[in-house]
Formats: sequence, C-alpha cells, structure tokens
Amino acid sequence: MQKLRNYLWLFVSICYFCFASSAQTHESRLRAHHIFWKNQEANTDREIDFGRGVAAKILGKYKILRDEKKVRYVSQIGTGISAQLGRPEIRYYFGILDTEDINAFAAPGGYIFVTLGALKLMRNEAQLAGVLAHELVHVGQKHIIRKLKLQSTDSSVTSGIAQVLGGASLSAKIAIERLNDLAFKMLMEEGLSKDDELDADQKALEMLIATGYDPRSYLDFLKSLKPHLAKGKAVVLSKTHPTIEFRYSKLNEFINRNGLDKIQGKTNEKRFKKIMVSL
Amino acid sequence: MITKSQKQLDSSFHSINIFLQIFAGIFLLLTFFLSSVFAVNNTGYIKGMGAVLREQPSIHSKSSFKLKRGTKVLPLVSKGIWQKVKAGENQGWLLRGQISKFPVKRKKLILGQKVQLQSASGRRLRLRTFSAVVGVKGLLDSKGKKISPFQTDYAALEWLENRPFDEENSVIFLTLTE
Repeated sequence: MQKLRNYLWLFVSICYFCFASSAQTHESRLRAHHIFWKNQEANTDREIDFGRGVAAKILGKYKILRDEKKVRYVSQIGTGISAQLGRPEIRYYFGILDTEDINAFAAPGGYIFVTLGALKLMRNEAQLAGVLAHELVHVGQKHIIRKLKLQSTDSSVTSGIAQVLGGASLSAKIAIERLNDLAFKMLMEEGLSKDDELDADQKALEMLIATGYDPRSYLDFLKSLKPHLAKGKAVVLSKTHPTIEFRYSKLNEFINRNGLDKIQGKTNEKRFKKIMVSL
Repeated sequence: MITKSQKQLDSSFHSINIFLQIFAGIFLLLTFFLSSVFAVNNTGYIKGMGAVLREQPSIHSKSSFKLKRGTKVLPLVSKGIWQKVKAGENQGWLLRGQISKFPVKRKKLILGQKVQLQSASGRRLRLRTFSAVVGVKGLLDSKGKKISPFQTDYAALEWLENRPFDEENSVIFLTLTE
C-alpha cells in the first residue's frame, strides 16, 4: 500500500509538471508579453523624445536644406525602405544638411540626415538607398541607446530609457539634456563601435537586396569615398567610422559567404540625376 | 547497538517521505515559475506592406504565397539572411528583416502630443519655484551658465516634421524601375 501511494505521488507530480509547462505557461507568457509590450511602447515614446533633442542639436550645427523637391525625393526613398524593413512603430523623418562635409547621421527615434556633400558624390539612386538603409539600421538596432546604456540588452520588464528619461522634473530635464549632449558627441566625435558599423553595413546590403536595388552600388559608393577622405572632405566620417578598406573587405566577405555576388538590381540613375541636376 | 523495532522504522520512513514530498513540491513550484519566465516566444509578425513567401532561399526563386502586414508567422529554420517561416498552412522563405518581434502597430506621431502650458481657466500657469523658472528660461546652472554647449534649431526640425508623408506612395515609387 505504501509503495502504491508513492507511485501515485509520482504520477500526480508528472501530471502537474505537464500542466505547468503547457497550459498555464501559455497564459502567463501572454501576460508577460503584454507587460513587455506596454513597457516597449513607453520606451519608444521616450526614445522619440530623446532623439528629437539630438536631431535639434544636429540641425543647430548644420543648416537644413529647405529644397522641397530634393527633400521629398530623399524622404520618398527612405520612407519606401523603412515602411517595408524599418521598425513598424516609428515614423521616420529624412532631411538634407546644407554642408560640404560628406556624412550621414541617424538620431534615435527615426531622424535621419544626409549631407549635401554626400549627395553630390552619389551617382545613382541605389547608392542613396544604401546610405539611408545604413542609417535606418542604426535606428532599428538602437545602437546609440545601447551604447549609452540607456536600455539593458536583455528583455527585462523594468528596463531602460523610460526609467531614466521618464521624469518631468527639472533634474530629469537636465539629465536628458546631458544625455543628449553625450549622444551628439558620439555622432560627431567618438562614433559607434566597429561592430555596430559593420552590422549596419551588412544589414543595409540586405535591405538593398530586399527592395530590389543593386547591392554593388553601395560598395562602389564606399570605394568612391576614399580619395575624398584623404583630402579631408569628410572629417567627421573618418573620425567616427572604421576605415573604408576595412568596411569594404568585410562587406565582400559577407557577400561571398552568403552567395550574393550574382544578384543584380535597379540603379534608377536617370531619376536620381534628374532630381539632383542642380547640385 | 539497539535494533529498531518495525514501528520505529516505519515512522522514520514516513518522516523522510514527508520531507521528500515537501521538497518535490518546492521543486515543482520553482519549475513552474521558471518555465513561465524563460518561456521562449518565437512568434513573429510581418512588417511593412506585406511580404512574399518564396519556395527557395533566393531572390530569383518562385513566390509561393503573399502575406499581409501584421500576419503571425512561426520561424522555422534560418539560412544566412533568409528565414523559413510557417504561416497558417503555408511554408516558405522570407528575408529576415521582414519579420518584427512585436505586433505591428500604428506609427507614433509626436506632433500631436503638445505640452500643456495653460491652466484650465485659460491663464498661463504661474511658475512657483526657482527651478521651474530656470527650466523655462533655458536650463541654466547655478552660476548662470547654459548647461548644454551645443546650439539647437527646433524651427528647422519642425519644418522637417511638417513635410508631407505617404508610406504607400513611397513604396510604389520605390518599386518603379526605369
């Protein structure tokens, strides 16, 4: 009798274990998912607020180009890519900076800028799409926020940016201002980590392939940057990014590893030249 | 040595059994909570304007099915930049960038969220504290210096935010080839 009772206990425990790992967990998993998603939403709000401050600082340093036709063209290309492959909860803004310095910036929350110098260097639409895609990845992977450690990399429920930037008091505002300065300095002087830039390059290439652009054009653009970097026309870019040779070789490696070398796509050179004719 | 009687043995066995049951209970409770915490949620959602399921992991492969924005998919195998997914009864390959981890929601427009500077009666709110006054005047520290050394230009930013925006047309514009 005693033995039988022991076996009964074992049977009950096994039943309980199955129950715990199937039906109940599904419900609690859904609840955890809901809480996490709510928190994510709050995080997105704070991220946009934060990125807006950084974008205003970028526009404080460089003047914005108020040319409706060109800005519309750039934003159409950028929105076309981001609508398909960007973060779905964010509205992206694309602007042109009126400076000869060759560069492109991405502030958190979806503010993306290309300089006039970079646009002048581009030969077709695929190159523009590549540069925009590179910046889209920085926003999508939250590289700046991760580097500022505003968000923990794991998916814990009490994470991040909402906690740091959530307050409405003056001290919270000062903290935001300081963090904005740090992010701005990162864009202008320190740069992101090497891995982040390479990640952005590779994912930009994926985006180009997905949207039907010629991925080789992006590599060509990188190559064409080299003499200009040597001339000192892209001071900020050379300070904040890994060298062109390194990025080029890593991208080639990525292409060979995934067998992407035979993919061809559109370049839309005529359309690009028609809009950018006055540059 | 004193030999234990059968009764004593029985009672000691019983007490061991009770301890075992308690520990097993605690263990089961722990596994229950841990399994709910570490449960892996693999479900993905289709981003953008929708996606095409392909038969092979290649851009030249035949498309087998079209998925709408927001469709739930279950990732199966990944191969480089490609991801095999299951959506309902259909299986196929997608580019991994087309899958979002979270449900696809409406875009956030920050222009709609304006800070309320007026009280309910229509008057401007009076700033009561010193720090609030300082906050409005542009963030000065105790010596009257501006806290941020960098200039800002919110007017230009607002100009950019007011540009027209049409996702669908942009995607169509992107798909046009010369």
